Amino acid sequence: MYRGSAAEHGITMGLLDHSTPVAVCQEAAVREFDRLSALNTDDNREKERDIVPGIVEQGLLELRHYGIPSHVQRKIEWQHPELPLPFLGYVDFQYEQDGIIIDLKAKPKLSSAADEDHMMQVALYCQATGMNTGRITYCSPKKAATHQVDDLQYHFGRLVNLAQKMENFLSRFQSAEELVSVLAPNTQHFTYNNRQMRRRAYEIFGV
Amino acid sequence: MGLGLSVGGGDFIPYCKFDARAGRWFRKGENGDVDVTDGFAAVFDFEQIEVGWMMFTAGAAPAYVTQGIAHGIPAKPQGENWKQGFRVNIALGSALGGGVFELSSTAKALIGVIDRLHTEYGTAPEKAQGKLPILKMAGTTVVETKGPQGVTRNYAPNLSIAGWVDRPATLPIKGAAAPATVSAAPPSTGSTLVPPPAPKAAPAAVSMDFG
Repeated sequence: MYRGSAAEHGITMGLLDHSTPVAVCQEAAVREFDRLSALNTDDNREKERDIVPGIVEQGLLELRHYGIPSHVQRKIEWQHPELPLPFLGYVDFQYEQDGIIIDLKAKPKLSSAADEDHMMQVALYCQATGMNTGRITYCSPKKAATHQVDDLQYHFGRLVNLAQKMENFLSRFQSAEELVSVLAPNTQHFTYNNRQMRRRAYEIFGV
Repeated sequence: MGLGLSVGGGDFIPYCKFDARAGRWFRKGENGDVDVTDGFAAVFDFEQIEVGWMMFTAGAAPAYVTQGIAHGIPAKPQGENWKQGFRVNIALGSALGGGVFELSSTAKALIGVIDRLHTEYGTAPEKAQGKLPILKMAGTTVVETKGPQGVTRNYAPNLSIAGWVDRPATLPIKGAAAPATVSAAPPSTGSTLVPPPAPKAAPAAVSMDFG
């Protein structure tokens, strides 16, 4: 859970100053991991910690070619006129001079294609910032690969459509309790890998 | 009852303006206007320039009644404070931050210059090739106007056609089908693996690095 934030911390350091040695960025990332996970008793904690330095190295090898980003961790808030709440997010790296948004994803292994969810996320960021190129850089301890979203408007439209469907669905319930009474989480999803999360899921949903 | 208006994911082109009283160019920035006078250079989409009537009121969005120059100036709308002017999309050079902006003006100091350059564009062989002009500014010229309250001093930009480019992708022909916000097609669109960029070298075929 913390590998992404920790790796991003180290990679950001190395992108804002290309003269910073990779080893220094890696050390900063591991310190950040330790800080974030200080109270985490998950069985996978050590395994996650071990892959952070490799992800930082791969991320810097891939992204230093883009130069120095104009913005890092830029907060965006974009209100669609037909939705009650705005979209919120944080853009990992924006290269305003080139019209590029890059979102960083730290993973133990790379997949062959960009995730649909990630493409929608980047499409939103481009919509909110006016950038016309959205990319996702996946970093594992051994490799990095950057995918450019082919059709930003298409994925943004999907995101808005999903948000509208979610709003339509949630508006049918009078309370959170009523909602819980008809839903069950997918505990196979990676967010429930953590024992504490699974326990909370059981406490709330009874499954 | 719905208004039947499309509100999803629309493209709003930010403004660029020439302040004739100061002789300076500004573009819309995140936190207010950004001065882009020094080294001003931009691709002007003269092919799709519009002329007509405009009303600029402090504190309110500008109002436009314009149409493509080939159709001439439309009938003047009812009401006061409408002035003749033009509006055109421009693409700023990368040295000025790039991006596409809408330039509109009723200032005579600017209209005269744009009028002259549009005429020059109209007779250039590059126009027939579908190319658009790069306009660069070399200082300003004082324009003094005598009026009932004395002499008014404005500044006209010394713009000239400095080169030509193929139509950039960022200045598409209006009316070309834009992608729908929710495509009816199956999800065939995905992503393309891209290598890291090469070190920046000389500009390619359609370079915006002309500032």
